Order: sequence, then C-alpha cells, then structure tokens
Amino acid sequence: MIRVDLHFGAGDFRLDAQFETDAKTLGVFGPSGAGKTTLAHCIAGVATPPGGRIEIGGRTLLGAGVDIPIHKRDVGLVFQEARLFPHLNVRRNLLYGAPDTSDLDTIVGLLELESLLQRRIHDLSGGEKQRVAIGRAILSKPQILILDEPLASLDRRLRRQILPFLVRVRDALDIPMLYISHELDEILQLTTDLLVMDQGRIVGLGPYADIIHDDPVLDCLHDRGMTNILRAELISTSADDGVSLIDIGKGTRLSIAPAPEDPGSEIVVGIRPWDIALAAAPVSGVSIQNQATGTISRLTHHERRVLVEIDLGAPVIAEISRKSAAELNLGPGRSIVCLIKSHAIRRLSGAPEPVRIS
Amino acid sequence: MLTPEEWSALFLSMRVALLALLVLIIPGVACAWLLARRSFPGKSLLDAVLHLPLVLPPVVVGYVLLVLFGREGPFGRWLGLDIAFTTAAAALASAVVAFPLFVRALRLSIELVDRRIETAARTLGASPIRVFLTITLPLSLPGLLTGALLAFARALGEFGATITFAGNIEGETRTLPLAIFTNAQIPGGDAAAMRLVVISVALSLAAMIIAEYLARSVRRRIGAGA
Repeated sequence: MIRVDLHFGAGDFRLDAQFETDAKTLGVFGPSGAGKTTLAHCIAGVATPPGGRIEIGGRTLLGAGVDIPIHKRDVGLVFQEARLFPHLNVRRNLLYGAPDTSDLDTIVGLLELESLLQRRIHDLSGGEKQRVAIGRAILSKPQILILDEPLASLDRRLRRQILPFLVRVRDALDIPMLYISHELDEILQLTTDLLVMDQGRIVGLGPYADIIHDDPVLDCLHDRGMTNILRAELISTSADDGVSLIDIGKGTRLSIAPAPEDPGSEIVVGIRPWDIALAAAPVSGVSIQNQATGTISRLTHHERRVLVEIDLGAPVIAEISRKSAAELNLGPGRSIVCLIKSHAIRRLSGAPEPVRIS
Repeated sequence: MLTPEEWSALFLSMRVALLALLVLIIPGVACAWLLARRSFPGKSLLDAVLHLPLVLPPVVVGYVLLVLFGREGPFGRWLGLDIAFTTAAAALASAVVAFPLFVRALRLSIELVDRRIETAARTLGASPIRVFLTITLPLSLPGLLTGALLAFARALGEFGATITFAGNIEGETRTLPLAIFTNAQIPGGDAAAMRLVVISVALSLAAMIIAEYLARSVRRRIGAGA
C-alpha cells in the first residue's frame, strides 16, 4: 500500500500528487518534466519536500512530525544511470546494502550475474551495469523498489534484453514495485496498473484498459505511445509464407512477421489502436491477413475519436473516427470483425521463463 | 659516510615529518570534508584561517605557537602542554605549516566524487558516516595521498616555524634544514652541509616517487584510469 499526499512548488515546477494504491507493480507514466522523478525522490527521501505525507505499507516515511532519513526508509531506488561504486567489484557492489549474503545466490541467478561477480565496474556494459544496480537495490531488502527510468540510457536492443529480467523480478519476488518510465510500451510489459502524470499533476490512476477511456488520460497517452500489449503463444512459423502464427487467448489466432522464437514460447506483441480497422462482417479480397471476430465490451466517444474495446480472447482497444463509428452503428455487445495487418503487430520481447523463489 | 650528528638529523627529520602527518590527518580530513560537502555560516572565514599558514611567514606561525604553547601561554600554563623546544614542538610546527596543503588536495579530491553515487549508497541503507568511510574517502584516496605527500615534503623542509618554536637542539629539534643551516654557519662545515643537501634531495625525490606510484595504483583500482 502506497499513500502519497504531496503539494509543493519549487521554482517553476509544482508537484500536486495525491494518490493511494494497492497495486503490487505500479507503472508511473508521464512525459519528461511530469514530476515522476521528483515523486520517486520524495518517496526515497533523496528530495525533501517542505511538507506532505508519504506512507508505504502502513509506515509513515514523511508527515505527522516524521521525516525518516534516506538510509532508514527501506526504499530501494534504481536510477537511470546505474550509479555503481567504481572502487568495488560487482560482488561487493551487490552486497553493499545487504544485511547478509543469504540472498546473494538467488538474486545473482535471477539476474544472471554469475559470470560478472569478480569483474570491475569499469569493464561492464551499460546493460550489465543496470542489472547489477537492480540486484544491488533488491539485496538491500527494501519495502518497495522504485525503478526510475532504469532503461532510458540504454539503446532499444538492450532494453529488450533487460525487460525480461524485470518481468522475472516482478514475478519471483514479493516486493512492491514502482516502475517509472516515459515509454508506455515498457510499462505495459510489466504491469497494467498505471499512474499517469503530466506537469506535476496526477492525470489518472487505475488499470490501463479502464483509465484509457478518460479524456485527460487519453489526451496524455494518445500521442505518447498508446498501444495494446498482448501476451501470446507462438504457434508456428512458416518461412514460405513469411509469417508466424500466434494465439492471443481463447483460440484467437493472428499472423505476424516471422518471429525467431521456438513454437510454444510466449512472446509479447504490441498493436497500435489506430492500426486496427473494424468491419461489420468479414471482408473478402483484401491483403490484410488478420480478420478476428470479437464482441464489443466498451465504447467511449471523445472529442476527435472513438475508442472501442473488443474482446478478442484478450481485451483489445481500437481507435476509429466518430464518422466511422456512426456509420458502423457500433454498440456494446455487438459482434465485430477486427482487421489487422500482420506488420502492424510489433513483437516487443520474448518473455523469459518464470523463476519462482520460495 | 655520515657523522652520528648527521644521521641523527636525518632520522629526526623523518620522525618529525611522520609525526606531523599523524597530527594533521584527522583534523585535516574533517576540515576537507566540511569545506567540500557542507555549507555553514563562517565557512569562508574557516577557509581563510586554514590557509593562513600558507601565506604567513613561517616565523610568524612559530612565534604564535610559542605564545600559545610556551611556558606562559594558555596551553602551556593551563593545560600543561608546555612543549616548546621539544621534538613534539617541531612536529606541531611542521603540522600547522603543512596543514593547508593537505586540506587543499583532499578537498579538491572529495569535490570530484560524484554525489549521486553517495546518494545511491544512502538509499542502500548506509548512514552518512558509513558513506563517507566506504565511498567518499576511498574514492578520494588519490587526493589523500597527494595531500599527505605534499604535507610530508613541506614538513621535511620546515625551517622558520621550527627554529622559532622548537629551537635548534641537536637530537631533539635539529632537523635536516636546521642541520644544514648550522653547518653552513660554522667554518669548515661546507662538506657536511653539502652531504645533508644531497640527502634532502634524495629523500624528497623518494617520497614523491612513492606517493606517485601509490596514487597511480589507487586510481587504477577505483577505475579512474591511470
């Protein structure tokens, strides 16, 4: 349980953040300058707001005459830059904040750091450094783990490689996580519980599929990577046809650009809402490979667009114009055909095998 | 090769310089940290006072010490620290004169330590004192070594403050510079003075080479490049 009540100004910037959440993994999304890092630093005690209240798991970190110093807050913070200690090797970095060595092997295994333990920080790649920083924060046994844009300084390819580790951490450990990013893709691969911030204010809080229908959230997210994230099973890949077949749930199959993973493995794909066209009935004689039939579960009208949530085995949001919506005479409960080009379905990352830690 | 008096001057010099280092290291580290990392009222005044021995004539430093620690001085009379004209006085005089050199070098080095790394250590549960001892100080070790070398060399060469506060007593306060001075004063002492000059040069060179070697290996170890 996180409870935050902060209202203060510093120079041109003003933070007005009041929220409460039980989400185990909460994604904090917002464009740069939204106040995400300030929020993280206030929770960790790195920044000192003039007042306000912060509670984590029932413990007051700030407020009511209390202002717990950084080192006693039990808030693990992973920064954009890894901030490793250059004079210590990887193993000693990992153990810096650890009460003992009992969890070292587990975390080292989880983040695949075995071969790096004796290495100097200087010799690590950017991705390796960030994995060490994540392990170091976890090993300090925090009450909450805050990841502040941990992938922002890495290139796209490296991000893809590290995200599966974060998914593993999320699944294997019982630590609440706050994942801060300005990349919606990244967040949605970790969690659908979202806190959306813009210009120091909270714009929305709740499950992505719900809050996306709110105008302020939609306005904030629409041009900043709004997407559908689906977990799918890879069924088969045909080199001749140049497509792979995936199952996104309840037997709904979609064809996508060839995926290198083995059949049977889980992959994550993203589809932009405006890349989904709707039709009242199956269409013949088109090049679009995917025609999936589903039921409309929700429909919201906005100033310039209409969002349609369709149950395709997994909930999928499509965006169409108000004119199209009127012509198609859409409504909840109606059956509809979704037309999706296979190349509009982006493969984001292969999910790693889950590792359970008792 | 050397007379017993000359050997004595050599060993005494080393002893005095090392003692001076011992005396200044803890207050020196504290002052360097205060100046590098804290802001408080009177900071520029402290900074100026700490630098005084660098710009004052050493004789003035020696005289002030004599007034403070002499038999009639406040420390001498009330605290029983009547150390004037002893080896301890020579060490103290050297320490005071060398102090600003040490503080300056270490302070610059501490200022170069990335504060964001210190913050990261705090978030991992380290108290401010632990952060200083395990992060800040190890990362500013090159500055500590440079400062210690400068202070040691300055202490080896100390003359004015020493002769004023500690006198020129053979085996007690007659360090190398004082022995050279004494020999230069007496007829036929040129050869002895020259031998001591050569030893002084060799000693200073050796100290510099050792410190440079240490600083380089430390820098390599903390990943700052060679």
